[in-house]
Amino acid sequence: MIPKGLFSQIGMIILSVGIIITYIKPTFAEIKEIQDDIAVYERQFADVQSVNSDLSSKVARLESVTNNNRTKLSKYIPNEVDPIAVQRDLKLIAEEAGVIYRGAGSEGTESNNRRRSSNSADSDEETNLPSPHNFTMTVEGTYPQIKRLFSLLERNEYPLEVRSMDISKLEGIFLAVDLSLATYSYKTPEDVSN
Amino acid sequence: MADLSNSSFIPKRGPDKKRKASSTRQVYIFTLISYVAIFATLLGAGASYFYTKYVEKQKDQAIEELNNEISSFSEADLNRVLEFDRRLSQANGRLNASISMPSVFEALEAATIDTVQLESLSLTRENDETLLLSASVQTDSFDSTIFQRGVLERNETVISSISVENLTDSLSTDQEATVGQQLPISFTAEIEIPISSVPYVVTEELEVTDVVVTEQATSSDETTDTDSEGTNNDNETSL
Repeated sequence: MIPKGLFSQIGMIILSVGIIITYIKPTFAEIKEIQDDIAVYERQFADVQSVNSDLSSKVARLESVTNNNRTKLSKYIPNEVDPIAVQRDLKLIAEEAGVIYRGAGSEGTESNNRRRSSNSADSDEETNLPSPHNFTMTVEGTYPQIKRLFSLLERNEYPLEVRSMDISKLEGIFLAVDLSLATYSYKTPEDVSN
Repeated sequence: MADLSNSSFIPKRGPDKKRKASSTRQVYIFTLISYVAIFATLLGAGASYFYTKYVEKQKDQAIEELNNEISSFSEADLNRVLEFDRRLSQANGRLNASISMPSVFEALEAATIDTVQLESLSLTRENDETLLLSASVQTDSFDSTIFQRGVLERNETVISSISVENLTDSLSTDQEATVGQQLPISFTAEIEIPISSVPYVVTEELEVTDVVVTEQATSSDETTDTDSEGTNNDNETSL
Protein backbone atom coordinates (compact mmCIF):
# COMPACT_ATOMS: atom_id res chain seq x y z
CA MET A 1 0.00 0.00 0.00
CA ILE A 2 1.35 3.45 -1.04
CA PRO A 3 1.31 5.99 1.76
CA LYS A 4 -0.70 9.15 1.31
CA GLY A 5 2.31 11.37 1.94
CA LEU A 6 4.03 10.22 -1.19
CA PHE A 7 1.26 11.58 -3.37
CA SER A 8 1.46 14.97 -1.76
CA GLN A 9 5.26 15.00 -2.16
CA ILE A 10 5.01 14.13 -5.81
CA GLY A 11 2.33 16.81 -6.14
CA MET A 12 4.64 19.36 -4.57
CA ILE A 13 7.43 18.46 -6.98
CA ILE A 14 5.08 18.72 -9.93
CA LEU A 15 3.75 22.02 -8.65
CA SER A 16 7.28 23.33 -8.25
CA VAL A 17 8.17 22.33 -11.77
CA GLY A 18 4.93 23.86 -13.01
CA ILE A 19 5.64 27.15 -11.25
CA ILE A 20 9.18 27.18 -12.59
CA ILE A 21 8.05 26.53 -16.14
CA THR A 22 5.01 28.76 -16.24
CA TYR A 23 6.11 31.67 -14.08
CA ILE A 24 9.73 31.81 -12.98
CA LYS A 25 11.34 31.05 -16.34
CA PRO A 26 9.23 33.56 -18.31
CA THR A 27 9.78 36.11 -15.55
CA PHE A 28 13.52 35.63 -15.79
CA ALA A 29 13.31 36.06 -19.55
CA GLU A 30 11.26 39.20 -19.03
CA ILE A 31 13.79 40.50 -16.50
CA LYS A 32 16.61 39.88 -18.96
CA GLU A 33 14.68 41.70 -21.67
CA ILE A 34 14.04 44.65 -19.36
CA GLN A 35 17.68 44.73 -18.35
CA ASP A 36 18.68 44.74 -22.01
CA ASP A 37 16.27 47.61 -22.57
CA ILE A 38 17.75 49.43 -19.60
CA ALA A 39 21.22 48.95 -21.04
CA VAL A 40 20.03 50.35 -24.38
CA TYR A 41 18.40 53.33 -22.67
CA GLU A 42 21.55 53.93 -20.64
CA ARG A 43 23.66 53.85 -23.78
CA GLN A 44 21.27 56.23 -25.48
CA PHE A 45 21.31 58.42 -22.42
CA ALA A 46 25.11 58.48 -22.46
CA ASP A 47 25.07 59.35 -26.17
CA VAL A 48 22.54 62.13 -25.74
CA GLN A 49 24.43 63.39 -22.72
CA SER A 50 27.64 63.38 -24.71
CA VAL A 51 25.96 65.30 -27.55
CA ASN A 52 24.50 67.79 -25.08
CA SER A 53 27.81 68.21 -23.36
CA ASP A 54 29.58 68.64 -26.70
CA LEU A 55 26.96 71.15 -27.80
CA SER A 56 27.29 73.04 -24.53
CA SER A 57 31.06 73.30 -24.92
CA LYS A 58 30.63 74.47 -28.51
CA VAL A 59 28.03 77.03 -27.50
CA ALA A 60 30.44 78.21 -24.82
CA ARG A 61 33.18 78.56 -27.43
CA LEU A 62 30.76 80.37 -29.72
CA GLU A 63 29.83 82.72 -26.91
CA SER A 64 33.51 83.36 -26.24
CA VAL A 65 33.91 84.85 -29.74
CA THR A 66 33.73 88.58 -29.35
CA ASN A 67 30.96 90.56 -30.97
CA ASN A 68 33.55 92.45 -32.95
CA ASN A 69 34.91 89.26 -34.48
CA ARG A 70 31.43 87.96 -35.17
CA THR A 71 30.58 91.19 -36.93
CA LYS A 72 33.77 90.94 -38.97
CA LEU A 73 32.91 87.37 -39.96
CA SER A 74 29.40 88.41 -40.97
CA LYS A 75 30.89 91.18 -43.07
CA TYR A 76 33.46 88.86 -44.63
CA ILE A 77 30.80 86.30 -45.62
CA PRO A 78 27.49 88.17 -45.44
CA ASN A 79 24.11 86.55 -45.85
CA GLU A 80 23.50 88.57 -48.98
CA VAL A 81 25.63 90.67 -51.25
CA ASP A 82 24.27 94.07 -52.13
CA PRO A 83 25.56 94.81 -55.66
CA ILE A 84 25.08 98.54 -55.27
CA ALA A 85 27.08 98.63 -52.04
CA VAL A 86 29.88 96.63 -53.64
CA GLN A 87 30.03 98.98 -56.64
CA ARG A 88 30.09 101.96 -54.29
CA ASP A 89 32.97 100.35 -52.36
CA LEU A 90 34.83 99.65 -55.61
CA LYS A 91 34.53 103.28 -56.56
CA LEU A 92 35.73 104.40 -53.12
CA ILE A 93 38.69 102.03 -53.29
CA ALA A 94 39.57 103.27 -56.78
CA GLU A 95 39.44 106.87 -55.58
CA GLU A 96 41.55 106.03 -52.57
CA ALA A 97 44.13 104.33 -54.78
CA GLY A 98 44.25 107.39 -56.98
CA VAL A 99 43.29 105.64 -60.19
CA ILE A 100 40.74 106.99 -62.63
CA TYR A 101 37.53 105.10 -62.10
CA ARG A 102 35.88 104.28 -65.41
CA GLY A 103 33.06 102.13 -64.12
CA ALA A 104 31.97 99.00 -62.37
CA GLY A 105 29.15 96.56 -62.89
CA SER A 106 27.56 93.53 -61.37
CA GLU A 107 27.43 90.27 -63.26
CA GLY A 108 25.26 88.52 -60.72
CA THR A 109 25.84 85.24 -59.00
CA GLU A 110 27.81 82.42 -60.46
CA SER A 111 26.93 78.78 -60.34
CA ASN A 112 29.43 76.83 -58.32
CA ASN A 113 29.35 74.13 -60.96
CA ARG A 114 31.40 76.35 -63.19
CA ARG A 115 33.99 76.70 -60.52
CA ARG A 116 34.09 73.06 -59.61
CA SER A 117 37.36 71.50 -60.59
CA SER A 118 37.40 67.96 -61.86
CA ASN A 119 39.51 66.50 -59.10
CA SER A 120 38.18 68.37 -56.09
CA ALA A 121 34.45 68.04 -56.45
CA ASP A 122 33.48 66.31 -53.28
CA SER A 123 30.38 67.31 -51.42
CA ASP A 124 32.14 68.61 -48.32
CA GLU A 125 34.14 71.03 -50.36
CA GLU A 126 31.00 72.03 -52.21
CA THR A 127 29.30 72.79 -48.90
CA ASN A 128 32.26 74.92 -47.89
CA LEU A 129 32.09 77.05 -50.98
CA PRO A 130 30.19 80.26 -50.43
CA SER A 131 28.05 81.71 -53.22
CA PRO A 132 30.15 83.84 -55.56
CA HIS A 133 28.97 87.19 -56.94
CA ASN A 134 30.86 88.62 -59.87
CA PHE A 135 31.67 92.23 -60.59
CA THR A 136 33.62 94.04 -63.24
CA MET A 137 35.64 97.18 -62.84
CA THR A 138 37.53 99.37 -65.25
CA VAL A 139 40.16 101.83 -64.11
CA GLU A 140 43.07 103.75 -65.51
CA GLY A 141 46.20 104.78 -63.76
CA THR A 142 49.91 104.43 -63.38
CA TYR A 143 51.56 101.19 -62.37
CA PRO A 144 52.13 102.21 -58.72
CA GLN A 145 48.52 103.39 -58.49
CA ILE A 146 47.29 100.08 -59.84
CA LYS A 147 49.46 98.19 -57.39
CA ARG A 148 47.99 100.28 -54.61
CA LEU A 149 44.52 99.52 -55.94
CA PHE A 150 45.18 95.79 -55.61
CA SER A 151 46.63 96.32 -52.18
CA LEU A 152 43.49 98.16 -51.10
CA LEU A 153 41.25 95.51 -52.65
CA GLU A 154 43.03 92.95 -50.48
CA ARG A 155 42.48 94.96 -47.35
CA ASN A 156 38.74 95.25 -47.89
CA GLU A 157 36.58 93.88 -45.11
CA TYR A 158 35.00 91.36 -47.47
CA PRO A 159 36.89 89.42 -50.15
CA LEU A 160 37.29 91.01 -53.56
CA GLU A 161 38.98 88.18 -55.37
CA VAL A 162 40.58 88.90 -58.73
CA ARG A 163 39.22 86.37 -61.22
CA SER A 164 40.71 87.91 -64.29
CA MET A 165 42.59 91.02 -65.19
CA ASP A 166 43.64 92.70 -68.40
CA ILE A 167 46.24 95.42 -68.34
CA SER A 168 47.08 97.30 -71.48
CA LYS A 169 49.14 100.35 -72.19
CA LEU A 170 47.51 103.68 -72.85
CA GLU A 171 49.23 106.85 -73.81
CA GLY A 172 52.30 107.73 -71.80
CA ILE A 173 52.59 106.07 -68.47
CA PHE A 174 48.94 105.27 -68.09
CA LEU A 175 47.57 101.79 -68.09
CA ALA A 176 44.02 100.60 -68.62
CA VAL A 177 42.88 97.82 -66.32
CA ASP A 178 39.81 95.66 -66.77
CA LEU A 179 39.11 93.62 -63.69
CA SER A 180 36.74 90.79 -63.00
CA LEU A 181 36.23 90.43 -59.28
CA ALA A 182 34.29 88.05 -57.10
CA THR A 183 32.92 88.42 -53.65
CA TYR A 184 31.00 85.84 -51.66
CA SER A 185 27.86 85.42 -49.65
CA TYR A 186 27.07 82.74 -47.10
CA LYS A 187 25.59 79.61 -48.58
CA THR A 188 23.04 77.83 -46.45
CA PRO A 189 22.56 74.04 -46.60
CA GLU A 190 19.28 74.70 -48.43
CA ASP A 191 21.22 76.53 -51.12
CA VAL A 192 23.56 73.57 -51.39
CA SER A 193 20.71 71.08 -51.75
CA ASN A 194 18.98 73.30 -54.31
CA MET B 1 -20.02 -26.13 35.13
CA ALA B 2 -16.36 -26.53 35.28
CA ASP B 3 -14.20 -23.80 33.92
CA LEU B 4 -12.76 -25.27 30.76
CA SER B 5 -10.35 -22.58 30.19
CA ASN B 6 -8.37 -23.38 33.25
CA SER B 7 -8.13 -26.99 32.44
CA SER B 8 -6.61 -26.57 29.05
CA PHE B 9 -3.13 -27.88 28.59
CA ILE B 10 -2.31 -24.92 26.45
CA PRO B 11 -0.51 -22.44 28.51
CA LYS B 12 -2.35 -19.34 28.89
CA ARG B 13 -0.89 -16.21 27.56
CA GLY B 14 -0.81 -13.36 29.86
CA PRO B 15 -2.62 -10.19 29.08
CA ASP B 16 -1.14 -8.32 26.10
CA LYS B 17 1.32 -5.86 27.12
CA LYS B 18 1.28 -3.23 24.38
CA ARG B 19 4.71 -2.48 23.27
CA LYS B 20 5.34 1.18 23.08
CA ALA B 21 5.83 2.38 19.53
CA SER B 22 9.18 4.04 18.98
CA SER B 23 8.89 7.85 18.87
CA THR B 24 11.72 8.45 16.30
CA ARG B 25 10.34 9.70 12.96
CA GLN B 26 12.00 8.75 9.73
CA VAL B 27 12.81 11.61 7.34
CA TYR B 28 12.83 10.46 3.79
CA ILE B 29 15.11 12.13 1.25
CA PHE B 30 12.32 12.48 -1.29
CA THR B 31 10.18 14.26 1.27
CA LEU B 32 13.00 16.63 1.97
CA ILE B 33 13.54 17.33 -1.74
CA SER B 34 9.89 17.93 -2.33
CA TYR B 35 9.61 20.38 0.55
CA VAL B 36 12.78 22.18 -0.47
CA ALA B 37 11.58 22.33 -4.05
CA ILE B 38 8.18 23.76 -3.25
CA PHE B 39 9.53 26.33 -0.82
CA ALA B 40 12.38 27.32 -3.11
CA THR B 41 9.98 27.62 -6.00
CA LEU B 42 7.57 29.77 -4.04
CA LEU B 43 10.44 31.88 -2.76
CA GLY B 44 11.89 32.19 -6.26
CA ALA B 45 8.50 33.12 -7.69
CA GLY B 46 8.05 35.81 -5.07
CA ALA B 47 11.58 37.11 -5.53
CA SER B 48 11.30 37.17 -9.29
CA TYR B 49 7.98 39.01 -9.00
CA PHE B 50 9.50 41.69 -6.82
CA TYR B 51 12.69 41.83 -8.86
CA THR B 52 10.60 42.29 -12.02
CA LYS B 53 8.89 45.22 -10.37
CA TYR B 54 12.28 46.59 -9.36
CA VAL B 55 13.81 46.37 -12.84
CA GLU B 56 10.63 47.79 -14.38
CA LYS B 57 11.01 50.72 -12.07
CA GLN B 58 14.64 51.04 -13.11
CA LYS B 59 13.59 50.96 -16.73
CA ASP B 60 11.00 53.68 -16.16
CA GLN B 61 13.66 55.72 -14.43
CA ALA B 62 16.07 55.22 -17.32
CA ILE B 63 13.39 56.23 -19.81
CA GLU B 64 12.57 59.30 -17.78
CA GLU B 65 16.24 60.29 -17.56
CA LEU B 66 16.64 59.77 -21.29
CA ASN B 67 13.56 61.86 -22.03
CA ASN B 68 14.80 64.61 -19.74
CA GLU B 69 18.18 64.58 -21.44
CA ILE B 70 16.56 64.61 -24.87
CA SER B 71 14.28 67.47 -23.89
CA SER B 72 17.28 69.44 -22.59
CA PHE B 73 18.81 69.30 -26.10
CA SER B 74 18.47 72.68 -27.76
CA GLU B 75 17.99 72.54 -31.50
CA ALA B 76 18.26 76.30 -31.69
CA ASP B 77 21.73 76.15 -30.12
CA LEU B 78 22.74 73.41 -32.53
CA ASN B 79 21.56 75.46 -35.52
CA ARG B 80 23.39 78.49 -34.19
CA VAL B 81 26.62 76.52 -33.80
CA LEU B 82 26.25 74.83 -37.20
CA GLU B 83 25.54 78.11 -38.94
CA PHE B 84 28.55 79.76 -37.33
CA ASP B 85 30.75 76.78 -38.13
CA ARG B 86 29.61 76.73 -41.74
CA ARG B 87 30.19 80.44 -42.14
CA LEU B 88 33.60 80.11 -40.52
CA SER B 89 34.50 77.20 -42.81
CA GLN B 90 33.42 79.16 -45.88
CA ALA B 91 35.41 82.18 -44.75
CA ASN B 92 38.40 79.99 -43.97
CA GLY B 93 38.15 78.36 -47.39
CA ARG B 94 38.21 81.71 -49.13
CA LEU B 95 41.03 82.96 -46.92
CA ASN B 96 43.10 79.89 -47.74
CA ALA B 97 42.44 80.43 -51.44
CA SER B 98 43.18 84.13 -51.35
CA ILE B 99 46.29 85.47 -52.98
CA SER B 100 48.15 88.71 -52.88
CA MET B 101 48.13 90.43 -56.25
CA PRO B 102 50.89 92.85 -55.25
CA SER B 103 53.01 89.74 -54.52
CA VAL B 104 52.32 88.52 -58.05
CA PHE B 105 53.37 91.89 -59.42
CA GLU B 106 56.48 91.90 -57.27
CA ALA B 107 57.40 88.39 -58.40
CA LEU B 108 56.88 89.47 -61.98
CA GLU B 109 58.99 92.58 -61.45
CA ALA B 110 61.76 90.50 -59.95
CA ALA B 111 61.66 88.11 -62.88
CA THR B 112 61.61 90.80 -65.55
CA ILE B 113 64.98 91.89 -66.91
CA ASP B 114 65.78 95.53 -67.66
CA THR B 115 65.72 95.22 -71.43
CA VAL B 116 62.18 93.88 -71.46
CA GLN B 117 58.94 95.79 -71.65
CA LEU B 118 55.50 94.32 -71.08
CA GLU B 119 53.01 95.70 -73.56
CA SER B 120 50.02 94.07 -72.01
CA LEU B 121 49.30 91.60 -69.28
CA SER B 122 46.29 89.44 -68.72
CA LEU B 123 45.67 87.19 -65.79
CA THR B 124 43.05 84.52 -65.31
CA ARG B 125 42.37 82.58 -62.16
CA GLU B 126 41.64 78.93 -62.90
CA ASN B 127 39.44 77.66 -60.07
CA ASP B 128 41.41 77.87 -56.86
CA GLU B 129 44.45 76.21 -58.32
CA THR B 130 46.41 78.30 -60.75
CA LEU B 131 46.87 81.75 -62.16
CA LEU B 132 47.42 81.90 -65.89
CA LEU B 133 49.33 84.94 -66.99
CA SER B 134 49.68 85.95 -70.56
CA ALA B 135 52.09 88.78 -71.19
CA SER B 136 52.87 90.48 -74.42
CA VAL B 137 56.56 91.21 -74.18
CA GLN B 138 58.96 93.32 -76.19
CA THR B 139 62.73 93.03 -76.10
CA ASP B 140 65.62 94.50 -78.00
CA SER B 141 67.25 91.26 -79.10
CA PHE B 142 66.98 87.52 -79.24
CA ASP B 143 69.61 87.31 -76.52
CA SER B 144 67.36 89.28 -74.21
CA THR B 145 64.50 86.98 -75.10
CA ILE B 146 66.55 83.90 -74.25
CA PHE B 147 67.82 85.49 -71.06
CA GLN B 148 64.28 86.52 -70.05
CA ARG B 149 63.01 83.03 -70.70
CA GLY B 150 65.83 81.61 -68.60
CA VAL B 151 65.09 83.97 -65.73
CA LEU B 152 61.43 82.98 -65.77
CA GLU B 153 62.26 79.28 -65.99
CA ARG B 154 64.63 79.50 -63.05
CA ASN B 155 61.99 81.14 -60.88
CA GLU B 156 60.55 77.81 -59.80
CA THR B 157 59.29 79.00 -56.44
CA VAL B 158 56.44 80.93 -58.02
CA ILE B 159 56.26 80.00 -61.69
CA SER B 160 55.39 76.39 -62.50
CA SER B 161 55.57 76.63 -66.28
CA ILE B 162 56.52 79.16 -68.91
CA SER B 163 56.12 79.07 -72.63
CA VAL B 164 57.27 81.63 -75.16
CA GLU B 165 55.07 81.89 -78.24
CA ASN B 166 54.42 84.12 -81.25
CA LEU B 167 57.97 85.31 -81.47
CA THR B 168 58.24 88.03 -84.11
CA ASP B 169 61.12 90.13 -85.29
CA SER B 170 60.06 93.47 -86.74
CA LEU B 171 63.57 94.86 -87.06
CA SER B 172 64.51 96.07 -90.49
CA THR B 173 67.06 98.53 -91.78
CA ASP B 174 64.54 101.31 -92.49
CA GLN B 175 63.02 100.94 -89.03
CA GLU B 176 66.26 101.25 -87.12
CA ALA B 177 65.47 104.85 -86.32
CA THR B 178 62.45 103.84 -84.34
CA VAL B 179 64.16 101.14 -82.34
CA GLY B 180 64.46 103.41 -79.33
CA GLN B 181 60.68 103.74 -79.13
CA GLN B 182 59.52 100.35 -80.31
CA LEU B 183 61.55 97.28 -79.37
CA PRO B 184 61.91 94.95 -82.34
CA ILE B 185 61.43 91.49 -80.84
CA SER B 186 58.06 90.66 -79.41
CA PHE B 187 56.64 87.48 -78.03
CA THR B 188 53.89 86.21 -75.80
CA ALA B 189 54.84 84.62 -72.51
CA GLU B 190 52.35 82.21 -71.03
CA ILE B 191 53.10 81.77 -67.36
CA GLU B 192 51.39 79.40 -64.96
CA ILE B 193 51.54 80.20 -61.28
CA PRO B 194 50.14 77.80 -58.67
CA ILE B 195 47.96 79.73 -56.24
CA SER B 196 49.53 77.94 -53.30
CA SER B 197 52.93 79.39 -54.20
CA VAL B 198 51.78 82.99 -54.19
CA PRO B 199 52.87 84.40 -50.87
CA TYR B 200 50.19 86.22 -48.98
CA VAL B 201 51.71 89.31 -47.43
CA VAL B 202 49.97 90.85 -44.49
CA THR B 203 50.10 94.51 -45.25
CA GLU B 204 49.98 97.17 -42.65
CA GLU B 205 46.48 98.48 -42.21
CA LEU B 206 46.30 102.06 -43.33
CA GLU B 207 43.50 104.38 -42.51
CA VAL B 208 41.82 106.09 -45.43
CA THR B 209 42.92 109.49 -44.20
CA ASP B 210 46.55 108.30 -43.84
CA VAL B 211 46.65 107.20 -47.46
CA VAL B 212 45.17 110.46 -48.71
CA VAL B 213 47.52 112.54 -46.55
CA THR B 214 50.56 110.52 -47.66
CA GLU B 215 49.52 110.85 -51.26
CA GLN B 216 49.03 114.59 -50.97
CA ALA B 217 52.35 115.01 -49.17
CA THR B 218 54.15 113.00 -51.84
CA SER B 219 52.59 114.93 -54.68
CA SER B 220 53.29 118.31 -53.10
CA ASP B 221 56.91 117.51 -52.19
CA GLU B 222 57.98 116.12 -55.50
CA THR B 223 58.13 118.14 -58.65
CA THR B 224 56.15 117.03 -61.63
CA ASP B 225 59.26 116.17 -63.61
CA THR B 226 60.86 113.95 -61.03
CA ASP B 227 57.53 112.29 -60.39
CA SER B 228 57.01 111.47 -64.02
CA GLU B 229 60.56 110.20 -64.31
CA GLY B 230 60.18 107.95 -61.33
CA THR B 231 56.93 106.59 -62.65
CA ASN B 232 58.53 106.11 -66.02
CA ASN B 233 61.29 104.06 -64.44
CA ASP B 234 58.75 101.90 -62.66
CA ASN B 235 56.88 101.53 -65.88
CA GLU B 236 59.93 100.49 -67.81
CA THR B 237 61.05 97.86 -65.40
CA SER B 238 57.65 96.31 -65.12
CA LEU B 239 54.87 97.48 -67.34
